[in-house]
Amino acid sequence: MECTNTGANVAPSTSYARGATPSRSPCELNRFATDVSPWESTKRNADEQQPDAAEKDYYPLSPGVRARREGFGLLFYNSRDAKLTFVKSGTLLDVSADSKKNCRLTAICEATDKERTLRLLKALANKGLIDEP
Amino acid sequence: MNHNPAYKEFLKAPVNVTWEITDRCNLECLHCLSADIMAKGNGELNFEQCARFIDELDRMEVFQINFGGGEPFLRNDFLDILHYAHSKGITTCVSTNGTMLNRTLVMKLKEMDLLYLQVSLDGATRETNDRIRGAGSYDLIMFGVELLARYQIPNFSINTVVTRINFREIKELYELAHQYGAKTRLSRFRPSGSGRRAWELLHLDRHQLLELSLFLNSHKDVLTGDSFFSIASEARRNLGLNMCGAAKMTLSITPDGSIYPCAFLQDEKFLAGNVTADALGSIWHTSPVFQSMRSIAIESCRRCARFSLCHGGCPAVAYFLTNSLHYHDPECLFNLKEDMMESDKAGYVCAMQA
Repeated sequence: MECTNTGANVAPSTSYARGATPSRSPCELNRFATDVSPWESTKRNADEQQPDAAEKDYYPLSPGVRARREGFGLLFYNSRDAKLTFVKSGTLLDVSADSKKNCRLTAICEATDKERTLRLLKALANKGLIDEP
Repeated sequence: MNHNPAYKEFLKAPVNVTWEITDRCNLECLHCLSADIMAKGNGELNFEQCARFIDELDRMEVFQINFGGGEPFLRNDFLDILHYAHSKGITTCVSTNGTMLNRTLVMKLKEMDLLYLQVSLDGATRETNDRIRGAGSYDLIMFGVELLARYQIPNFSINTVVTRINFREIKELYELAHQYGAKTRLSRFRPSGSGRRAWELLHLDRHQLLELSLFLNSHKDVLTGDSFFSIASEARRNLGLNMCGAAKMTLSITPDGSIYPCAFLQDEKFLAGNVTADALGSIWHTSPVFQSMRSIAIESCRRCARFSLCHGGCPAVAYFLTNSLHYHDPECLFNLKEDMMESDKAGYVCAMQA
């Protein structure tokens, strides 16, 4: 997991997360360890009968965390420390909200991307951006 | 491998905005960056205009508003503005001179979960602070700081603009903040507003800049925001922004709603629009001023070993000192060291000749 931080006040310090293929970045903070066994996600809407079909799993964002879609993937902001996390997730993850206080992440797991998606989710959980189930 | 980190990509909206919410202030600090804007007296947005603008920030999914001024708490409706931003889930950070803080206000601030508070103090001693911020200000500020500590306001920091006058008190300021349960935040003195006129009096010399760089290295809990990436070392790589965020992650709004890329670049030539007439999204995406800020390329820095740490430094400092946005930060750590080595060499040659 790579990070850039946007400090609380004038300019943010940033945390830059990248999924399965960590690479050199000017602001790597916590490189995501690829050898960590994937976090067991709790599927709430998975279709066990059709493993090749795209599955959608929902993960609530941690309290105080907001996220928005960007061209590269998702940009997270944690109001508890005012830090940003850039996640190059492409279209693997999406964010939706019922209300300001009830945001959730959607993992769109094509079978081929499942491992990468799980690693991203684990990295996000390690950073406290989504609730560990 | 040609790696393009995500934070360098064009964002669909700012991450945060710096909003000078009022042009009124009860102090006259020597280094005030907003002095020229306040002197113009163009007036302030009213509450309805502020609320509409916050709605727009909400639609654009801006995460944070950094309120400053002037002194924000001089506005009677400022708490309403804060509440409105918080109701949208937007985090706020208020930069205050601390002189307006009283028990009633502090108790109200304590109830705000999404608030960061930054109190300005420019000296660990009364004499030093008052020389910069005006007679009597130290006592008023410390009264406010004591209240914030007594009522355990969680996210407050003491902010100091580092100048030649208070440079020798940085360690004491750090200890003082610690004593009150506050974080220390150091801001860079830049030649904007009154700072342009006070530049010769207040700016740090090369030795002080290098000493400050070492202090920041050994005090990683000191916040610097985007202030000191030009002198940040490898050790602080991930502790703050390592490039200018103007027009890329942030922008600045003046009290009358004018939009600039940065609070330190409020010259007429950097005016990008006004929120009362233009949609912020349109300014963000199409303003020539913003596009030109995003295309700044300081060729002389590209081969520098420190490029990934500062990306050429602060364009505002370069602009006011060299009249060009395309010049490297005049206070760049690498050049400071080079210059000092050169002068050491020159000194050595002189000594030999003597």
